[in-house]
Amino acid sequence: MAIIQINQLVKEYRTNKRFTGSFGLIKSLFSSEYVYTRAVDGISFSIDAGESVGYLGPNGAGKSTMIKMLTGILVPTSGDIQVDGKVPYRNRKEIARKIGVVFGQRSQLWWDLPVIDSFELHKHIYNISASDYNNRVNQYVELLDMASFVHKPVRQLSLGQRMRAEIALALLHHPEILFLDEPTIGLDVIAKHNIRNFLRQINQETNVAIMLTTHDLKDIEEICDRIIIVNHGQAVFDGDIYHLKKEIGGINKQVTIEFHVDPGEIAFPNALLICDEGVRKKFEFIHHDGEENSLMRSIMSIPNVEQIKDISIEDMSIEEIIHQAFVNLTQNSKIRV
Amino acid sequence: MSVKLFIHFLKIIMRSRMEYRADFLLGMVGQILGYAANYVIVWLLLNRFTSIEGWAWPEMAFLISINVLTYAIGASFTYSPMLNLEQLMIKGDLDKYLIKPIHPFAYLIASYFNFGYIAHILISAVLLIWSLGNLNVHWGVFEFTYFLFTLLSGSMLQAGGLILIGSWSLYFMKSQFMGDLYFKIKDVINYPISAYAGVIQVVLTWMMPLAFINYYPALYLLQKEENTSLLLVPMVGPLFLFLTIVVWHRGIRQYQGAGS
Amino acid sequence: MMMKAYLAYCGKSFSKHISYRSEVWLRIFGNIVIMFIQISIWKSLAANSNDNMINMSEMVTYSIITTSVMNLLMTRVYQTIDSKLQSGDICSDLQKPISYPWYLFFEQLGTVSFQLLFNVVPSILIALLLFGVQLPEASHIFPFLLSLLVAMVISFLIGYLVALIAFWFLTTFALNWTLGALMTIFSGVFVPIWFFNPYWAKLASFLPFQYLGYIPSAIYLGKLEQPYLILIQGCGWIASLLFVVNLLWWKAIKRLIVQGG
Repeated sequence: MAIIQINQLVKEYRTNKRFTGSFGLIKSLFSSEYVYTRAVDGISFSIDAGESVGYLGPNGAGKSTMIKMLTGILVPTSGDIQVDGKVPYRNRKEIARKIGVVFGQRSQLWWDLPVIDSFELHKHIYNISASDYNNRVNQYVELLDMASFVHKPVRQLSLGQRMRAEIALALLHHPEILFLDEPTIGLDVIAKHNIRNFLRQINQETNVAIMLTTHDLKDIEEICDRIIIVNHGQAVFDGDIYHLKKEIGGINKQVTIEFHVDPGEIAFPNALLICDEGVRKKFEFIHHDGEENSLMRSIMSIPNVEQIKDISIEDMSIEEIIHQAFVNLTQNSKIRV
Repeated sequence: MSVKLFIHFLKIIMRSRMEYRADFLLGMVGQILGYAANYVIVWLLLNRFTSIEGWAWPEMAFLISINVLTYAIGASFTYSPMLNLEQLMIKGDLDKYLIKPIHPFAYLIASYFNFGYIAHILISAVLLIWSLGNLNVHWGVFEFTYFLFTLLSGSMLQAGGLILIGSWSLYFMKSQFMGDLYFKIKDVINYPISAYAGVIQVVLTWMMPLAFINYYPALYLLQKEENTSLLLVPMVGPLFLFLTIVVWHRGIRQYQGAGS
Repeated sequence: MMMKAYLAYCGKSFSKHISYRSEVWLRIFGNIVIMFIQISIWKSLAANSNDNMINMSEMVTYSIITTSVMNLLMTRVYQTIDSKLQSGDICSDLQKPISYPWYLFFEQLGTVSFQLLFNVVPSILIALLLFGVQLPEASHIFPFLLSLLVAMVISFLIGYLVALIAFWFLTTFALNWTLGALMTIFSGVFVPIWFFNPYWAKLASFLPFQYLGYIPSAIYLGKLEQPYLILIQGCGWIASLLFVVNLLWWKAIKRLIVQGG
């Protein structure tokens, strides 16, 4: 069942036109000409209950604008938007109970007070019953390993601890969707790892849908089943990582073979030679469905197999894939899988 | 927002504030000095000239005290949320107030309630009580009730003025200078408005109804004028407050991009 | 060499204000409002006092001058430091190879030059049309200009003193209010000290705040018999403030080092 449904959604921002030149300033003051920029330009998708979706795109691609429209903060210029069957900006208060929002760079906790005080206030704002509240606090304190700092003032917490508290706060009223805007920004490697694990776990155990925007592709890889890539306000890809890899050619494997002695020219029917340094050669094996073991067979078929010193087989990293996606998919037309 | 929830906010804010107890107390001392200076300057003036527009020192103290007291009450609610709105918008923090199942206006007011006006209330209450002791006015149940209602209405006017500054930032992003200007203009009512040119009196009555905060109530209570329409003074505050909240909401809708 | 760097800071803070020029009109309007309130009160008082205690044209001029001088003061220097103290930026500022107090002074000078050009001069021109201003006698012009200089330097030192005291309080909130209180009364910005009762007048004469409004206006109006003597006393204030400020500066630095920022 779709919990988020958007269709041909558009958000246009209007800014005063700025004139340049010597009289530009005066002109700007008096003119009523506007420049319209489309942050979101006709995007459609739907998200089911319990899904976990990464919303990805370069800076200025309209990621935050999308989150703001879904949470009822911004009103779209045109198109349909429904969250849990309702239009968010018209039913802001109702929708607020159904969603949890975490802004990576803006805290919703009370800076000078212990974490538990912010939880307590949240309980009153959302009218959470005492027993539900106690159960959930206990559950999240354990899950997120917060026992050591839940009674400490927020200003004394590390960034990672604070982010855990932010996420727990956003989940206290048991929302059906959790929106996260850059949840791991500024965290160290271990803190990032913990947050990702927790989000994955919470997604699987409580069936809360997760939609997150991020720059960190590891977030997507470890948390999300599905990726939506946006660029210039348009969705250029919507599907899972496997399909994305296939689309980009990222499913191909790069194989570097190192020999003791230069074996001369070697060619495979299913691979391209990318780099030849004599004793070290690098190939890209083209993927064909149903021939998953052709790579190994090809390597084993090298005439002087005993001369091989070392072999490394690499998948394209997700960074490379996404980078490719930004470059290729924008140039070609939209691709939906 | 329920009263219970509001009180919960107050408790939390109080606890936050008490983390910086020394700052809080020092600030109070500073503010008391600041307002004392405003009284002293008028007192020095009247020490020399006995009265302004026929208002002697105790009457002037009464006039100023109503201004300060109602400001303290109104500003406790609206000063911090409204004057911080510009920064909230720049940093994007305003969004936090739009994703909760309570009214954004009520949520802002509750989370920014300011206990810092205790100093204002202390000094103005002391001067108010002192001035009443030194004024020869009849003070019955009716006058007392009227006085309470004018204080309430005045507080609403003061709160409303600040809400307009907040609304300004919702429409135009920048409100810092508007705020500065407002605080300069606001002080005109520390003197009887009859001292100003006729046009200004009209402005202060009908356009920026600051005169309803202290001047008109004082005219009635100090029996300077027998005019039954002065009995309507306590109605102005609620009306003004209502209008400013409407303006604010239009501003929020503009912020959400509904209009454009 | 060094002077060039300071002038650059001065120019930088000047041009910073240019980007806020849309607010210039609001500032000018604010000045006119303050002058208007003061002048209205003096008119009302003059109309109701029978003896000729109040010379109206004098009071109009007085109000316009004190309000204008207020815009040229540098007391606000502590506000620059306040945010830097809280963010810890002060340490990086102190590491620059320049004298920090001079840096602050020139930064303020940039602000004041902007105020003079885009705020004070237009305000005075408008006030001239609206209220009229007495022209000074030729012999008063030079001491008046000197007194403006003294006002700027004293205001800087007072603001700087507050900033240094803030090293201990870590916030300028209470100090801001206290300074405001002292300025309201003793700078004579509204009520000239010649109208104070003897006790308060004496108190005012023992404080440096009179140089921030009252003395420039009084010299302009020729109300002081020996303006140069008063100005020399002002220099005495400058010297003693310099002494206190230097003393506190070294203590503040030591404190900053102990705290480790």
